[in-house]
Amino acid sequence: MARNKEGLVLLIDVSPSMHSVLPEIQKVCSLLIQKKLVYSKYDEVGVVVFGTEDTKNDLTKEVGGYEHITVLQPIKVVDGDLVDVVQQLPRGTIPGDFMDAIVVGMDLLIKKFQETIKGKKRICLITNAMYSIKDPYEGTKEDQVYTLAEQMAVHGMKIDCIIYRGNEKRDPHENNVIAENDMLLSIFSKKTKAKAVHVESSTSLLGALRTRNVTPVTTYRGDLEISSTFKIKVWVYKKTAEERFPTLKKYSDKAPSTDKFATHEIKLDYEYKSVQDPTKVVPPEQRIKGYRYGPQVIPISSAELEAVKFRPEKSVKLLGFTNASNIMRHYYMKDVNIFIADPGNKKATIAVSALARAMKEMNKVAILRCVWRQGQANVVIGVLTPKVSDKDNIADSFYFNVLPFAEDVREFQFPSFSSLPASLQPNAEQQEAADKLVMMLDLAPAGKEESLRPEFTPNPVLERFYHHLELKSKHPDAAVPPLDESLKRITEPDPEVTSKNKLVIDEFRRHFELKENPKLKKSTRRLLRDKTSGSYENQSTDLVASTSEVKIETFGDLIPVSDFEAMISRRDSPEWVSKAIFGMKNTILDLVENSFEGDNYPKALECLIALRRGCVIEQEPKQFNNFLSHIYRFCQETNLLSFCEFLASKDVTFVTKSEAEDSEIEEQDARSLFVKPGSNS
Amino acid sequence: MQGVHGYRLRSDGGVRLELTPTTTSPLAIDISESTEMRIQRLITENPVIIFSRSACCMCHVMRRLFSSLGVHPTVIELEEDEIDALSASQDGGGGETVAPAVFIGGARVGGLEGLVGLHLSGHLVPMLVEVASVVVAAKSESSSLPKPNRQPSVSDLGKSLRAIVPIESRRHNLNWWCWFHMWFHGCNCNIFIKTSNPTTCRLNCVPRLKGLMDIDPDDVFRDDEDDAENDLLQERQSSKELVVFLVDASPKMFNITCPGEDQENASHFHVAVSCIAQSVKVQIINRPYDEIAICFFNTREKKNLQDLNGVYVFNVAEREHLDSLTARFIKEFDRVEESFSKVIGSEYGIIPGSRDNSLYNALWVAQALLRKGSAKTADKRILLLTNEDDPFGSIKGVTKLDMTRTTLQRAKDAQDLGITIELLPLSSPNEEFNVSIFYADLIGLDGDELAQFMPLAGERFEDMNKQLRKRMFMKRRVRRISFMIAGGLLIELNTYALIRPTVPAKVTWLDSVTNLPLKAERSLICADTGAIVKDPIKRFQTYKNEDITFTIDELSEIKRVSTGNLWLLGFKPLSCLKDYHNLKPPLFVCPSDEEVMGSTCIFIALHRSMIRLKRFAVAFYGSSSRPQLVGLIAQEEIIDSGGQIEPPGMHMIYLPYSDDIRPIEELHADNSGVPSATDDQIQKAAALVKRVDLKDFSVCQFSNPALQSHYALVQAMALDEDEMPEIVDETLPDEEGMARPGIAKALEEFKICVYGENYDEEDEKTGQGKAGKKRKQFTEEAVNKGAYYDWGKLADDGKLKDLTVQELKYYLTANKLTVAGKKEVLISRILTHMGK
Repeated sequence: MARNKEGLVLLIDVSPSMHSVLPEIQKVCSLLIQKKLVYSKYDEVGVVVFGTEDTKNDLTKEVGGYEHITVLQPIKVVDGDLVDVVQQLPRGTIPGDFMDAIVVGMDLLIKKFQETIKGKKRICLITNAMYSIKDPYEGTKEDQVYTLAEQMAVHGMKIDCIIYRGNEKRDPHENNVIAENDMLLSIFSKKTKAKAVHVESSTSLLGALRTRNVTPVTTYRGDLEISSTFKIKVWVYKKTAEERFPTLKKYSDKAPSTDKFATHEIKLDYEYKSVQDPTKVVPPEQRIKGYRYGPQVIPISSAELEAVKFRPEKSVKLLGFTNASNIMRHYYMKDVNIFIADPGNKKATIAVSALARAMKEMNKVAILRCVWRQGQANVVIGVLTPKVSDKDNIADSFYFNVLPFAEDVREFQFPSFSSLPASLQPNAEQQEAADKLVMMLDLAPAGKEESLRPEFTPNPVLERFYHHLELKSKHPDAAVPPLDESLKRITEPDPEVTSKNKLVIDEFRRHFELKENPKLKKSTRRLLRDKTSGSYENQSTDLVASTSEVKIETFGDLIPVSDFEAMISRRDSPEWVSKAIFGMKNTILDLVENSFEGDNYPKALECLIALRRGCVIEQEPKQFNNFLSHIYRFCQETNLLSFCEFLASKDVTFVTKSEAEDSEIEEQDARSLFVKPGSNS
Repeated sequence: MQGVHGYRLRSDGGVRLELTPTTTSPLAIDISESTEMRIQRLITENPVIIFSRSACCMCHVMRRLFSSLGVHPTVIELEEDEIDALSASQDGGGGETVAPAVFIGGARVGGLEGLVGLHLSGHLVPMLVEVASVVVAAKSESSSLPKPNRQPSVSDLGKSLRAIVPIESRRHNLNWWCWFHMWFHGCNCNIFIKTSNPTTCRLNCVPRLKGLMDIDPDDVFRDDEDDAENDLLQERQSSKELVVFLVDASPKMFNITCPGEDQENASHFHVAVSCIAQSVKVQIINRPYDEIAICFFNTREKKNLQDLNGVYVFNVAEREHLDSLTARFIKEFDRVEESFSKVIGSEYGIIPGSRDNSLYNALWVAQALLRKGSAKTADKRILLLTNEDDPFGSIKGVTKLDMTRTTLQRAKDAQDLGITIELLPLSSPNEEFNVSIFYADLIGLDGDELAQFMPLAGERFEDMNKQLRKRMFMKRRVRRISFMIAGGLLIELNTYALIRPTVPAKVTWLDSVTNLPLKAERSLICADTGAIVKDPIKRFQTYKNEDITFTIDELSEIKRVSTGNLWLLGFKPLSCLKDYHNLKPPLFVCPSDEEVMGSTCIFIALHRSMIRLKRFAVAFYGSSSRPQLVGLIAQEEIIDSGGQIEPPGMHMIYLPYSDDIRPIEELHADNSGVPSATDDQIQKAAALVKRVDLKDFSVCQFSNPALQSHYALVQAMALDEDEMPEIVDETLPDEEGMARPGIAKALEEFKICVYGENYDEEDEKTGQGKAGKKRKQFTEEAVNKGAYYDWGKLADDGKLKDLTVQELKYYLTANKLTVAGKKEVLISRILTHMGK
């Protein structure tokens, strides 16, 4: 693990002009360290800020100079404190000198690691490079940079420069400085392994720093067979691969809290049981694979499967070239591979270069058949597209995308737009409005940074997860933090772009009319909404709910009213009505009886009203009327007259003849119980 | 046919009459007639009659039972007051349910229970035959009804309903009470059967059956497969094809020969049968839910439900005539020719002087088979294979006219019921099949269609033989999403998966002893205590040496970063979408006006603008599993020779995030500069590219060899075939083409231009030499160092374990053994090598 240990120095410009983006820098740096904590715990990181009022670094003491550079954190193995350090960067007051900072950073790395971990030493500079650097004591600035770059190459260091340029206006003098600084920084990439990226928005700044360091591994090393006689040595890597959400382990809370060494892990155990006899466990060696053939399942032993398995030879073969337009973009099936010539094999590099350039010129692509490993049981057909490099030190290469087989394509038919009725077709004005919208809502305007470039777009979910993880490490009950403003630029339209194009958008809106389909029933619509939120479970819970509803056989004290209603409406037996009424009566009596200073009265009243309603619906007036009289008598006997008063105040009456034919109570007598208290007793 | 022609034929095979007389009805009954008299008269007039309340579901069940027997009862729906009249008109009905009531041949059978009881005791069919209302004596062999040898009692209702299930809805594949529950549940009558005990069921449901008045029986019996939304996640077919192959087996099919595959003459019958055999083998993999029947007509023997002459339905045991394919069926059909003349036999069906019209009979049988399933959910087809273009050629005069007319009418009836009849004619070089003599009318061809029919039919034959084994999927949307366009404008889109990697079907684990399916049971065990835990709601991540726990809710909250389904963020030129901006297969989106009207219009407008301006939309897709930035590429419709190649809509491409993209190019950056090709080399490469050109390349023209060989294996195992069907790996390069002089020359020139004359050997040397030298050096060293040790003694003293792994490896390397593994493994390997 420690073999791939990386030594990293973060050089962060905290001079006044950087203050606006320091929150983003803090976030991206802490994300970087958090990911190291999770995935590469042995990496070592140091933090240096420049542009500070104070000065604190070894070089000042040793040789003098190097002012306003503070080593916030000497290089050490990543830990929680480092996260805190980068989350509380000081705000500087003085324009920083990034070149001095680079020297300090190099010094830290050299002193710490000397000749070890060659090629794994990295400096990451985040600055706006707005201020002119100091003139060196001797030679030009360029000479100085060349010397530095050579030193870096000697010590096997890499440097990544992230140059942030907000889009505010600048005066010509500043522009000159910027141009000079950019030129100086570009020298690094000529002399050593360096990368400089320019970003304009805070969102891109979050994406510009690679927060996860994955050691690339080749998928294939060997021949690209143009024909049986002509082969080119190539290496194949993954160019894109999804960085997944961390796989969290299942947590077991069974271990006693006193157990300090509890792992809290959960092990999975699979047992195969006979469907007929669930008590019988079938041992693994007695299992056999079955595949469906029509309605039957055909058992096929692994020996048989092995014997006839399709086993192509490891190879990458060219099938031919074709016009790029023959391969539509949406046929790309998977993540992307990159083919580079075997590094160090000059002739292979030239061959790849010649082919790539020829293909690019002619707008052709190559179709390949690939078997990456020996023993692989399938082949892959894919398309090779040329990537011509525009840098001297980077060789030409190819991108490779997997294409579908005939079996993978589903030939669904869709109506053509031209055959749709005119009412569904946009008219000329609508089309014009759409044209304007497509033109104006531009994410890649000329002369400006393309926004939301995948290369600079961070994954908002992962950012949020690590943010929450850090919060939780401090307060276990921390709530999920809201999505960061800069990250909202990824998930929602940029309000700036929207407001700038308000006219176009409003015009677009005016031209089109949307209305809900009146034919669609409300209920279906709601159902569909539920479904769009992506859950199949909704349905099953509905089903459970509906079955439990009809299954109500007794009712609890918590929701007697709904239980009663469910039971009284059961239609599978007439008995349920009387059962429900009987149960409800008991509940009401219990409630009244157990009431303390009338605290149960509202609930009892609710139940009584429900009972009344039920009795009217079921045409059982006597049940209710008799009960009402009964409860009245009961209250008088047990000194609960307050309930009678309560009922009178809420106007609960007998069920009258007009409501239910069987009732013997006339309309005018409905309130008789309360008008003449005690008359019935 | 029974005498009810002209009445409204119900979809489920029954005739419904209104009792209340109307003046327009030919059945108008004299007003003076009393209700009782009318009922009495109807009972005597109609061989089978049901009196019921309107929309009574029990009546519906009875009707379905009758129609499964090929009987179309007259149904009279009575008003409440008329029901009293019904009970008055019959004596001795006392106590039993009054309506619905069935009368067969004037005798009261009773209600549903009575009818089913009669059927169970096996008396129903004879009774029907007796009253001559059964068109053809139905053989009950097809229905798997239990036939108890005792008098049915009331408590048999449960069982009898179970018996009805196979007739009604065998394909529901539900056990009866589940079906029953759905049936009642569907009509909002709150009957829930808690037990599968039929007696309880009867008690629970019978009293309430009377109350089921206001339900639409057709709705009650709606197929559960209508609900395609049900399984959005599973890729199961919801709709299927019901196909009846009608194969002519007249002697003419055997006489005429035509060149077969291997240039030997084969009979048309052989061609037809082997073609079907091929096609069913593909079908069982492609569309396992389809149901198939194979009928021969013009046969000596007869075997069909209707007992019609000259029609033989080929089948195997444990399978309905029209059912999904089974391995046994396919296997036996493969051998049908061997025993054909003995078991089935061939003869001319339509001969002068006889009234038998085998073509008519065949169509009838096919239509009866296809009665199964609703036309809405199943695609019903009859495929007719024959070489006789003039089936009524041998007869003359009125008989011919009459027969032609009735046959055409029969075909038309079938087509009216939603059955398509397709003809696959077989013609021989010296005798062209002339469609226009008879079949053009039968299948309804005219004009251009007629002219193009024969060539197209030829292609279809070809297709049937060369179909690819490929699982077919029904068109089904993945999800309906809302697309938020600027300013709160929200349109509705449907998404479809047009391209998804197909993998061999799921593995079902079986018990190798019994071959019965197994189910996997997962148990979660606490690693600390060994206790079995229920699915825990918490997950944890070790961070800063602590276990940080998250609840499932928190995790899904973290992933919920967007409020909308799909938010439009803006547009970019297509050139901004790089080749490496891809992670997985795209989703296809197209608009829908189902909920929000006007969506299609907006979508089309944007679609056109995007194509014209060569831009794609960037949007955020907030799915719950992985919210992602996506690109929407407008795709124009592409149509080629009548078929849609690319549907119009947009493709949603999943874009990677910054950390998903790896800077591989920079990995091997060489600061001393990398060599790049000279113009001459590029030109030579261009010449090569031009030569090796796949002109008509289209994506997905290759079948997946791994998948095809898997299917072939399953088929071979299922059918006990001795040989595996040969699988051609279409993905191999065209070696022959590459060897053509032009290409070979271009290749050679490019090769020399890049590598120089004697490259091959040199490369092999340097490439292998380096590694080889190093390895050799290492081995030498190992041998030298290994010599210092007295391995035998160390082994004897058991001191090997005191050595380091590195030291152990000296021995291994020196003796050319593998050096992989843990220390114990290495030691035991050394000991084994020494023979100790």
